[in-house]
Amino acid sequence: MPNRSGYQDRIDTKIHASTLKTEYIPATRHAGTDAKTMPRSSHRSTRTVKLALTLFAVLIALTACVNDLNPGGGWSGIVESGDYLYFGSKDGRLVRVSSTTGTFDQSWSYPSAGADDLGEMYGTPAVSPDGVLYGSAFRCKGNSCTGEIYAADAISGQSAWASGTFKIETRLVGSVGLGESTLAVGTAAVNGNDEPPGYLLGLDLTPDAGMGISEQVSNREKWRLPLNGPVWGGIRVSNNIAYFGTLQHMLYAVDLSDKPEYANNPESRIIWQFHTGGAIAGTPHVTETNVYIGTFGNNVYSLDIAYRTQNPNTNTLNPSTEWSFDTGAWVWAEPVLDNGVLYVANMPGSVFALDANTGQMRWAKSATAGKEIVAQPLIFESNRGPALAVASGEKDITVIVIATGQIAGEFVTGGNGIKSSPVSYGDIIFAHTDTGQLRQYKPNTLALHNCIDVKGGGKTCK
Amino acid sequence: MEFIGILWDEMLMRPMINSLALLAHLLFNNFGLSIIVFTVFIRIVLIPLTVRQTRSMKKMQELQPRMKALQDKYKDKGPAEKRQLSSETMKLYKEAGVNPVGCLGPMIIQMPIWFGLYRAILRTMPPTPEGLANLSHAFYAWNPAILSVPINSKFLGVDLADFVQGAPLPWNYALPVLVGATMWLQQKMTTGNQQAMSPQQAQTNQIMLWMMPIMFGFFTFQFPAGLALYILFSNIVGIVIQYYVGGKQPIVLLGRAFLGSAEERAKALADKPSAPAAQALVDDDSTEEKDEDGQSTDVHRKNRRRGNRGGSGGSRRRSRRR
Repeated sequence: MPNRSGYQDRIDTKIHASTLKTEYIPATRHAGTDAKTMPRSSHRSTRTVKLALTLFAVLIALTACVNDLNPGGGWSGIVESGDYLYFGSKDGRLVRVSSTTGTFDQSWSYPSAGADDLGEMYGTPAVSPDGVLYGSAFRCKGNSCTGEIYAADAISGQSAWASGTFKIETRLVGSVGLGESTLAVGTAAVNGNDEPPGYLLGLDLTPDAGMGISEQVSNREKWRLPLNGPVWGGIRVSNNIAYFGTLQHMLYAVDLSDKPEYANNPESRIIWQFHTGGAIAGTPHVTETNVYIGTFGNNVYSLDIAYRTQNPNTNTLNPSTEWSFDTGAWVWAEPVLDNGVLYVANMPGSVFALDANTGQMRWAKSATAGKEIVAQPLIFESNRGPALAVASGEKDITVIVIATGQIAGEFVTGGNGIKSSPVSYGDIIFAHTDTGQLRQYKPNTLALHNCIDVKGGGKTCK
Repeated sequence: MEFIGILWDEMLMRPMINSLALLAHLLFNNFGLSIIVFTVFIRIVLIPLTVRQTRSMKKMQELQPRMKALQDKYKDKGPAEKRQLSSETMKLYKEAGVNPVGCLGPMIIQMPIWFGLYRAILRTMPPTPEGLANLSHAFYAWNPAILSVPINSKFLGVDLADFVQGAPLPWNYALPVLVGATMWLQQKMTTGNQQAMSPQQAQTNQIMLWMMPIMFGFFTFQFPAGLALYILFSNIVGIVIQYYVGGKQPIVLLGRAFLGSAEERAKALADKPSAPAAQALVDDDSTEEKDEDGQSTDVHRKNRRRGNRGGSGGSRRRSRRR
């Protein structure tokens, strides 16, 4: 065991070493040592530090470059009102083009030029019979998001609500649903709270235009229905009942009417709910009798509305009127029904023609354009008869003849992806690309008729 | 560039996304547990590299006196002699079979994993519709986890896809502090004997020891919480590995960092009027024999018991002195 003096010696040695160290550094500096005359080890030390700093700078640069937390401007679909087609631009504004000439109306936008934009617009606007456009948008900083629900007069471009937009702290991704007196809006979690993970909002549709201040609606929110998950898909309304799904696999049918019994118990609005085998990010296709919905469980379901209403808590399919079909991959795009055949496109680009009553497959075809099918296919009249236009989120639109399932060609999009449904007005097919172009095609020749760069202020594009 | 993108996606991103999603699927749809298990797996894979690096660093430490002698020999000499110094230094490294920047090896190897994981976390739990659409490409057809999307991103109340600064209290502060502290401790365990080094080398080590943890702690605010969780557990596993490979006790080092060494404590007490207390402390501490690294013989004894020769270099040198 060392004695105290030996121990003290060691302390002295340490103090001496540290003194040497502290003396050495200023001495080197004061000697005016430049880089050329610095000892080699010092060069190495500097190199090591520089290397570490460089690596770290690369790390930070890369993390700053990636933008996965931020939405890419949305993919609003197109809706017609009067002589115009309206859609949300990548700049966060509702804009319009003439449905007859295809020209961009630079004098009209909502919000107007100079006012703050609305943010990311994914949903297709809904238009009421009195010419008011309803829709939603949101903007995020990290995971903190603010959503806005708007009501814009299609002619004047002014807000139909005196209070302006309705704001709520959440993501508003899907299209809104227009009921008789209620605007249905699906949300994600609100105010950063985990529970509930989503809501269906019921907003008062009554316009304020022409009303005195005392008659204007002071509180747009009529009710708020908690859901089991966020709503990213659109809402379809039929007979004043909203049909929509959540990312947590649930398909809901919710009554939008203003019955007094709903006042104290919003959950009593749920007519039925059905737990599917996967997340629902798309919009259901609704007829008078059935609801068709694709899920991330790879299936598409046909649900009988009457049977569901009578058996609201049953989660098994009624084999005589309901069916499911496994497409082998996620289904995001809304199915489309034509003459008793349901056309379904899954994410990797396989298109299925199914008997709407039985779910039996008539044909299947792989889209020749890119993958990432998110948009509902469009049925249009081609020079080879009725055809299906299947837009790809990667590039191009595949055209498939619906009678035979044969590929008829492609609308070439110039490498741009399309995630909103193409629409057909007159003899032109309009497609809004992910890059903010409105591309117009001739259905007979599949040739590009016109292209407007909406993001670029309406310039012509190729 | 496209080729690099494909390589990046196929070699790193898709395996990571599928592994993370599959683990989450198997671990009760818990992405936090998935990241932790994934981290342990990655560190186990990197163990050979970590061991080689640790041994390389020990050799570097042993070379320090000879390095210092070389530098003294060529001190204040002309450019020709400086070149000679460089040549002899490299020769020394070559003879010893060490890489002078080998200490950065695991960090460099882990950099692509960090980049990849950053992207993989965000891509596996996409907060945007574009991200969700993109995710469909990433999954392998056989992976059953594809049906579990969206994966639950919550872990202990923290959204793993959100930035750390957006996490609830106390995690928004605790995660950066924990990342910085564990990184410091891991670096401290791998840092050699300062006194055997040249002042520049020691200074560099000191800078690295403090700068990297502070920078990482600071930038952790900007990372997704999932990546912070990975770095944190990577550090913890690294400390455990270092403990078994290098033989330095983290608790001892922590104690030294915050309380000072026994000598420093004794000196501080000796400066105070209550000198007998200092004497008592010294007597008490001196019962534990120290080698020149300042490591206790208990540690070396433990290392010897484990048969770890690398960890007992100080003991061998002490024997030679005797």
